[in-house]
Amino acid sequence: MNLPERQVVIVGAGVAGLAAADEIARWGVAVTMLEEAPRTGGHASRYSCKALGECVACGACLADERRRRVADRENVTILAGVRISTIENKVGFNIHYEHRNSQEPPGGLKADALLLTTGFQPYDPSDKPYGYRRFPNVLTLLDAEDRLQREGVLTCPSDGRPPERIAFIQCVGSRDSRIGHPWCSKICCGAALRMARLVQYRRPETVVTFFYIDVQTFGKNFQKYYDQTRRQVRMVRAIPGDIVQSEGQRLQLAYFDPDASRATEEPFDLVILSAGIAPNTDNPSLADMLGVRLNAAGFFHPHESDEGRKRSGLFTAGAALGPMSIAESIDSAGKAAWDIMNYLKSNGLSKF
Amino acid sequence: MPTQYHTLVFGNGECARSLAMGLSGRGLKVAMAVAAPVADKLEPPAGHGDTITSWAGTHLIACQGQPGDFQLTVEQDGRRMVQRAGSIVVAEQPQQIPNFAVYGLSSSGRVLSISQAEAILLDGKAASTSGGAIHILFLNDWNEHCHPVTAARMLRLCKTVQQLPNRHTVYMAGHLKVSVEGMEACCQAAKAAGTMFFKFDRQRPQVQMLPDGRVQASCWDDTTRITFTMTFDYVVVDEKITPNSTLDHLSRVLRLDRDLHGFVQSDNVQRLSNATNRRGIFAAGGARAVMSPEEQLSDAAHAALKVSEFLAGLDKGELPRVEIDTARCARCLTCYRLCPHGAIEMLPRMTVMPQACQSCGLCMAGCPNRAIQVHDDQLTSALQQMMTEEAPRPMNGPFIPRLVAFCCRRSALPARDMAVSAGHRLPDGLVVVEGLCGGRFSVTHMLSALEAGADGVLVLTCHPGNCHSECGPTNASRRVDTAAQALALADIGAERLHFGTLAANMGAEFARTVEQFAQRIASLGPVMSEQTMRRS
Repeated sequence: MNLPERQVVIVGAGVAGLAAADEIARWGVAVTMLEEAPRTGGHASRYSCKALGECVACGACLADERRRRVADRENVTILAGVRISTIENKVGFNIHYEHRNSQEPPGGLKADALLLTTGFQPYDPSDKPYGYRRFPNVLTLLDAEDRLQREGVLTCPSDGRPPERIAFIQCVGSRDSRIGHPWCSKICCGAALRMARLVQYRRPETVVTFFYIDVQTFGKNFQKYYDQTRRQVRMVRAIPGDIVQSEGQRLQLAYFDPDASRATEEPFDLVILSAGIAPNTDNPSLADMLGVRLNAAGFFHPHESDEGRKRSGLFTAGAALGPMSIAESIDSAGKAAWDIMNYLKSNGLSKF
Repeated sequence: MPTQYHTLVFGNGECARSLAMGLSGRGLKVAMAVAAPVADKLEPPAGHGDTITSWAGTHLIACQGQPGDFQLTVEQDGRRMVQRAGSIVVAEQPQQIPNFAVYGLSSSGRVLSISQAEAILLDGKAASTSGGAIHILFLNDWNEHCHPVTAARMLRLCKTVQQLPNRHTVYMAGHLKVSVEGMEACCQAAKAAGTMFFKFDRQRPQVQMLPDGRVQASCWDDTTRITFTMTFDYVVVDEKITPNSTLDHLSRVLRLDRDLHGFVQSDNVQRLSNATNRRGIFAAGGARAVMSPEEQLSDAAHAALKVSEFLAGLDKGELPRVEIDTARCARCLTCYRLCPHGAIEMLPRMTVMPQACQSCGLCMAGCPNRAIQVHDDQLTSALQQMMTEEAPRPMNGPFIPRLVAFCCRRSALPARDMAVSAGHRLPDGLVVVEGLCGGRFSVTHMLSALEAGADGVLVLTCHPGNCHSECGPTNASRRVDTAAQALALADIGAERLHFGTLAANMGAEFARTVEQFAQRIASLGPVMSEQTMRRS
């Protein structure tokens, strides 16, 4: 079968894939992106700007900008809504894909270099005792981001009213050996606190309680931002035991109060769970097709950790390697783009 | 004279060397300069002797020229020389400052920084005062926040030491910073090996140095609710990672913005990953932020890509030309001061360096003598078109205000596009006038929009701290204030002007801002009522 020849194929059009495509296409290299979702941007494009009158460096605008830049590049082809069926890893790659929701016939591509930017899968907290998917006003942070982006304000799903009292619960499916996720998801403290601050900025009477184990550093300005945050957000070092729904969709949250040293209960209108970053569920089958191993958590290894793979033209970037912020994903994509350009050059496949 | 080097790299650490080797691998000529005097002759990285030159003990005196051809006056061993380089990268290694004072301690043979402890505690020479087991206390992230990169070193050392025979470790932290890969597992392993972890929120432990050199810690434990006292043979404190001290001088001579810690790159996401406020000058690794050694190497690769892009001319699209009318210029230096990109030089006439200019127009909007022109046809033609067009004013229908929104092309304009594609309906009389930066709109622009028949004027920029030109929103808001004062004096009403900030992905907010403003102007009515128009 004659496949159209493409120099670089990128699997996953989230922020890392888009950033790499933008960098590589600049050099006149033809890039094709394969994306499972109907549109590009990945999870990163679900985050709204968190500016409080001033920029707080959340990075959401960067993801959006990469998407616009890539859309303008003529030598980037985006195939959205497709699923990879097979990859043959010979000299270069033969990739076959099918369309997920249309009758279009399956297609194929030939690639000199393959970049995996398959991102992550948010942990599904249905098994946690927090009533996720049972109580309408229990959301994950990404659900809350979707609502914020759609409506411009954060409201309770049950009645569309702005919540008076919000609880954020951190580390839901992170730092949790019992469910086999013994890693810190790294970005949730920053993402949740920025969300909390934005909600309060727009509606100052909102009472926010933040349940956490440890607050992880985010941003260059962390100390200042965190000091301000502590004055506005009630910080409670506890992981809540469970949530029950009382009358009028109120959520009754049970936790051990470290100040009073006793178990207590408190009502909230909206509970936002910082669901952890888990590996993409497609990782095992992709790794299998490509003949590479995943790390213990199920993420990919960085491409330079195995010299054999580097020569074969396989590269990885972004949250496919583990939890990363938007800015870190862009950094990681920049490094992959440099490695890919050098790989193409050393194999006489591109001028660089 | 041809450019002698493609790139001049300041620094000699892992990041700087990796960057230089990467560029040299592409056949580029690289010079590495180290500000500190170095006793030995600095050797270029192995195998790169042909393309990498190293200078030790150099002192940068001046930097002239422009991107693609910088002329750097450098002093070495008392001799001055001018070196030419197409691009510059600042990649000086950061410095580690031990946090002894933060915990009320001072350095001693038993009070160690993490760097000292890594060298001492693992070599088997550590000794207990009692002859028995060695007790070691780690102090991390209280009183002052600790970067996860340093916390990771503390946690790794604690785990390794705990796993040695006859060692007992206690780890006291404000927050366990475990966001570096593998650190949660490291904590679990240390705990399993016997490390005791304590965390403190409000009540922090009292630590004091005993006469025999040991250190005593008295703590209140939140969980057990008891106070206890422990004595340790060694204490390990964390470190603060700070910018290399040479960055003070380098950033001054190179006119580079710095963040609040002093790293060479303002805390502005638009500068990510390796850009500075000046085209052709880049920041890499520990010179721009706190990073782990692996992150610094990865950053070297990214910076090498950015330098290559710049040298190949792929970093800059077509931009409108900016010119200074020398006949009008009074050489007041306002433009020199306003330019965020270091693109205006006195040679001796005020000159816009075309390669450095980003066409933001901040100089134009601020020039008191209106001597600067941005050859940006869209803005002038949009205003002219407004002047000639009839206002969409139905004779008997409701008043539809004519609104002009001056929009920054990188924030408010994409927000408008997003609003439109999301199906928001924008007011009928809205005219959008775009400019490359919000700071490019002058008081004259705002007033001439009103003169051309607008009933209200909006100036919409990005959020402060997110501007490609650093101070676009601040300048724009100041100009709106000035224009509003003029309107108030002319009895037209300052409320006909509005300044707002938006991000590119705030479509819904764009629609809301414009709609609210349209309602405000509708209630004010036209600038000139029909009676006044008829009278005039």
